[in-house]
Amino acid sequence: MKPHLLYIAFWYPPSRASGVYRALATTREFVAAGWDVTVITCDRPFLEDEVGSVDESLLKETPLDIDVIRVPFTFDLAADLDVRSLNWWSANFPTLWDGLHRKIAPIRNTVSAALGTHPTGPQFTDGYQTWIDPVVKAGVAVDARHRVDHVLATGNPYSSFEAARILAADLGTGYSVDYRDPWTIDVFTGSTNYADRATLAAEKRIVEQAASCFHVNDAIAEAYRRLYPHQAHKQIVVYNGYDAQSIPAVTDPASPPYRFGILGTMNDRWPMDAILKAWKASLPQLPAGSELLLGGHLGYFARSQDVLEATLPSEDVGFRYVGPVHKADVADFYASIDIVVVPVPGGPMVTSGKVFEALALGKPIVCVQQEGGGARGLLNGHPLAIAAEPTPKSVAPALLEAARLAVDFDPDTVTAIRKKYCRYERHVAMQPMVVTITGRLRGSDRE
Amino acid sequence: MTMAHLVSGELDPSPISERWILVLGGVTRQGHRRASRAAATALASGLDVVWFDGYDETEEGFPREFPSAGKDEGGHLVTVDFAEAESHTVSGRLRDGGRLKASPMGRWVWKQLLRRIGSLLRPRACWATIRSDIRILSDRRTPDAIVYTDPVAITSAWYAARIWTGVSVSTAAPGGYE
Repeated sequence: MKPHLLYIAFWYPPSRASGVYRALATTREFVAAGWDVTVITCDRPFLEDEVGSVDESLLKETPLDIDVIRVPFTFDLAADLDVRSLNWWSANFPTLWDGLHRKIAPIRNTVSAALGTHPTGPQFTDGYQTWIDPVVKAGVAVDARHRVDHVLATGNPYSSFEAARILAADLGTGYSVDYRDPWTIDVFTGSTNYADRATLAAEKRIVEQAASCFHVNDAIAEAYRRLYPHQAHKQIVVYNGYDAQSIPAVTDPASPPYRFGILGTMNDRWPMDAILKAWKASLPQLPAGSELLLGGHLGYFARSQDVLEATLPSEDVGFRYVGPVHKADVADFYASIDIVVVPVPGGPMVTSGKVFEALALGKPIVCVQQEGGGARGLLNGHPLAIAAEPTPKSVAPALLEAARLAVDFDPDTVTAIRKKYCRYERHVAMQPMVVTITGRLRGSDRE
Repeated sequence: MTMAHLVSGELDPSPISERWILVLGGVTRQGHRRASRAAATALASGLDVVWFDGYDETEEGFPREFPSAGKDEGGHLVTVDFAEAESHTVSGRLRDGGRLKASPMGRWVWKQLLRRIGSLLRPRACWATIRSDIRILSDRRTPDAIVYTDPVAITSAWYAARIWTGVSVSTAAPGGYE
């Protein structure tokens, strides 16, 4: 009989959140390894009404032979409210009342955790904790129909981890957690980012009771080994990798004018200002007609779009925003450009999923990230990669150097690059997770 | 189904049958969409719907969505648009920033402050705007259910619940009426 994985992934198609691609790859790889997979994810009304955007094309990427259970979630304070029980103040000023309640909640939790007076132990607040109980209930129902052999949760949101912990205890099975970002460690500074004792306690018990903790890069895994030295053996790196379908066929070397391209969901942490200033400065030195294309969504929420769009330059400086690029069209986008520009914020813990596609393309890369950054580290040794600090002064010469490289390389170089970096192909990159969890099953998570 | 679009103050309850639900649609886009879905569900089951709609598409930038009319089966939908009337309340004027005499920076700070205060008062302003129409309804009809669809509609739902004491009140957020 096939083993059965219960996978808690808040962001799953048709969500277009950045974590969706790793979640998709996870389900694909477990199915390919002979598992039955049930995914518990959020509901469509939340994605459509509150996040404000979905990508229907991603539904085609989900494996056909998995079950997907959508458990409702909302940020809306109106949900699950007993209107008749409200007092005059909370009924007449509901948003003020809720705002005060939210401000006080972490303080109250910290105090009750410190005093040990909270009825159910320390309660963390990541904004999604109302999802935990319904997920546990849904997971128990899934198990009643088809016995679950392992629970795997991906975060953020980290409430998924707590749901996995409670559910696994209820079912008497093991669970693992997949950190797409660190939780209590600030991904940009590496320091602890929660003063809230309840959250620190929640992560500690989750890590202690988990079978394995997966991380997207070495720096995050190492930080967790230091934070939980007794759990160091559980911290395993599973790189994001790239999907083979996103890499176009090898093309001829570029000829002027050049097309530089940035692909990804833009956010306000990207060093776009430095890139755009550098672009304007270097444009006169590039062949006439050269362009900088930006493809992808502007922000993760519909409300972010206008704000970010206002920061983009007009098209008369050779810049063009081409709009969202669906997964199926990513290879075409890369085929249409000569040089890839990868903007990455942060330091050693930030690698960005897009850097793996850039690595495997075999085209010149300009990686804009501060020195010591995770993405820059991955590009070390790549013959066509140029690293630049997030300043116009550093990016401008990098763009010009990349244009020179674009005409110099030959198809054999591309083939060699693709061979070298095929270890980051998603199927290969995900194997440590599949092998680890499958290995635990042989050790019998559940008798 | 059939539908009639009215503005607040115009409500005439006579075309509404004995089986109807009250939808308090709030002011946000998500509240509007939830209200539309809740209305569609009720209409498809043959219920009439009175939907108080405070959504201002010019403010939010997304068009209104209504259940499609013209099907033979289904109930009667009455929408009461109160966005315009609500914009003239104290809350609406505060959110608009009013006419301020101050330096540009001072004006910006004051506008933010007034907008915040206006938003906090908005649930009550919405109730004040639709109160007279609700009272007209309450004189003649009792709904099968009261559905509210965003936080701003909580106040109206609370007052409506005090008028129709035996009627179920629920949200159209996930886990609610849908």
